[in-house]
Amino acid sequence: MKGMKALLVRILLWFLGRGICVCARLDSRVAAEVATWAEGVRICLAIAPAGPAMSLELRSGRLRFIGLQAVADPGLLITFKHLEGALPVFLGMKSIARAYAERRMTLQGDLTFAMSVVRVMLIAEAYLFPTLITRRIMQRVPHREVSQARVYLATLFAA
Amino acid sequence: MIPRYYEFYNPVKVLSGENALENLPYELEHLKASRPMLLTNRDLTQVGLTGVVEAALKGAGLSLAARFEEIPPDSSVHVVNAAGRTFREAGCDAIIALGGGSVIDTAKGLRVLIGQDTDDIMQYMGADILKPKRHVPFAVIPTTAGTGSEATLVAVIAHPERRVKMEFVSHHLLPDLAVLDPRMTRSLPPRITASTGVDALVHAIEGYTCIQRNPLSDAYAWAAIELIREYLPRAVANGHDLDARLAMANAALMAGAAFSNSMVGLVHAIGHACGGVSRVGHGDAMAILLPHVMEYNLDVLHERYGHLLLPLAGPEIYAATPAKERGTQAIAVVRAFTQRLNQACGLPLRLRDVGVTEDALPAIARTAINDGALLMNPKEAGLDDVLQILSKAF
Repeated sequence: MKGMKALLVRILLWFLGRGICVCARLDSRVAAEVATWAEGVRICLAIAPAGPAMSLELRSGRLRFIGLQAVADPGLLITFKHLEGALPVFLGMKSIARAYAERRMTLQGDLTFAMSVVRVMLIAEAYLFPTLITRRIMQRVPHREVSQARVYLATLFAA
Repeated sequence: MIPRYYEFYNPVKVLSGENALENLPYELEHLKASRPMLLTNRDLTQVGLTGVVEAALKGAGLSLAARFEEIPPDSSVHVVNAAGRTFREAGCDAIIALGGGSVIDTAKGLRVLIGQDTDDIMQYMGADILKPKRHVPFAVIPTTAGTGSEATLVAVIAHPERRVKMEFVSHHLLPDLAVLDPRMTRSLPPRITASTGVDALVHAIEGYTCIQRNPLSDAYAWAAIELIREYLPRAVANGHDLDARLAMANAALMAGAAFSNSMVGLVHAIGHACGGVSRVGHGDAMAILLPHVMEYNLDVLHERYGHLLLPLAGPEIYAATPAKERGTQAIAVVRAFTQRLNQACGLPLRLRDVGVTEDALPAIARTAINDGALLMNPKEAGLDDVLQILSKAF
């Protein structure tokens, strides 16, 4: 069962990571946020103690999905304390703010930068999750500047 | 309603009341500390408070191994590093912080430096990532009644070169001891008494309403508000009212314990930005912004604010107010409270009165939306929302 959940989280992390990169190209608000990030910065989302991980990197002004792996010395490292705490967030059952409030995760790095990353994740979630889900976890669901289908297709094939 | 999951942690032993300082050596001995280092600032030495602490230690045969007084109002990583060198050179084994927010934050930074056995605390900024290699006994003697830093797990330390305000959030930052001795706040002027006291009120109100709230933090916040309602005006009117001073010291600690576990929200997010962009004093920003942010949050927090009418206004007003009007009434009571303090000692009520210019409002709003406290506010707020609040508070 735990193996199944870990596999599910890996799939969801793959979608989220690639989806964020796509949004950085297609959504002006995400692009504006990413434009404020330092060139070369790496962001890692991981599950403790040895669960799945996902990393992004801003290289040559473009946000890239590095893969389902942790990277050394990330500018921001968000680590969920355990798989059970991470799953509801990646399934869209719990907001990232609520998970942080419940102290489900640790955060290494500049908290101001983390706020920018959280805003990006919220917008990406608005594309990746159905409205029915986002309405449950967000007070204000960010509007979609481009169609969900376009983001989905790019996430699958052209991230 | 009880949260589906929450955490609460407050291991600080509180020594509160008459001659509390004299018990400090006994407590340090039990923490196996014999060579404490005192962190404070020169102003507190000049008004004699450092001498009171030293006399209390000497009375039990304990002397300071080092004293570090070069702490400015906004501490930085350089100050922490300098304190670290003094700590190591003098072979100290414990930290005593005597002062307000800046001194206590510096002491927390020093505890990270020594506890992690590092020369660079920047790598430890973040939330819940500290794993100290050694326990450094840590006592805090607050000289203001407001920050509640003696009971919080947060420290903010500037890194001027990198232009970063490093935030550290960890339960390893909580002191072992908080010494609330009314002698320590007696000389605080009315105006600072008021602004620091309102800071504690905001901690309690936001602690009671932010998304991480829980039954234990509620209890601390509630008790703090009751004390502030009764004793802050007394402490402002007569600084030598030691009962009022002690009550406010307790209120600040309880509000600190509340928000350390439930975190603060939009008032603090905007207040931090006012401080960063326009150098507004933290307590002043809190006093100015509180009623405006409560109005913004009202539609989401009507019921919670309604509950707070009881500690804010007392049982008579609470009972006489229809349930559906209590939330609005709570805001009116807060507004009347800050206006009363304005008349008593000049506590500012508008941003324009503390040097903020209208053209600075967009920059303040942009800074505010990057503050972590925003995430904990029960009602989401974007750039336009923050700008509207700032315009009203201007």
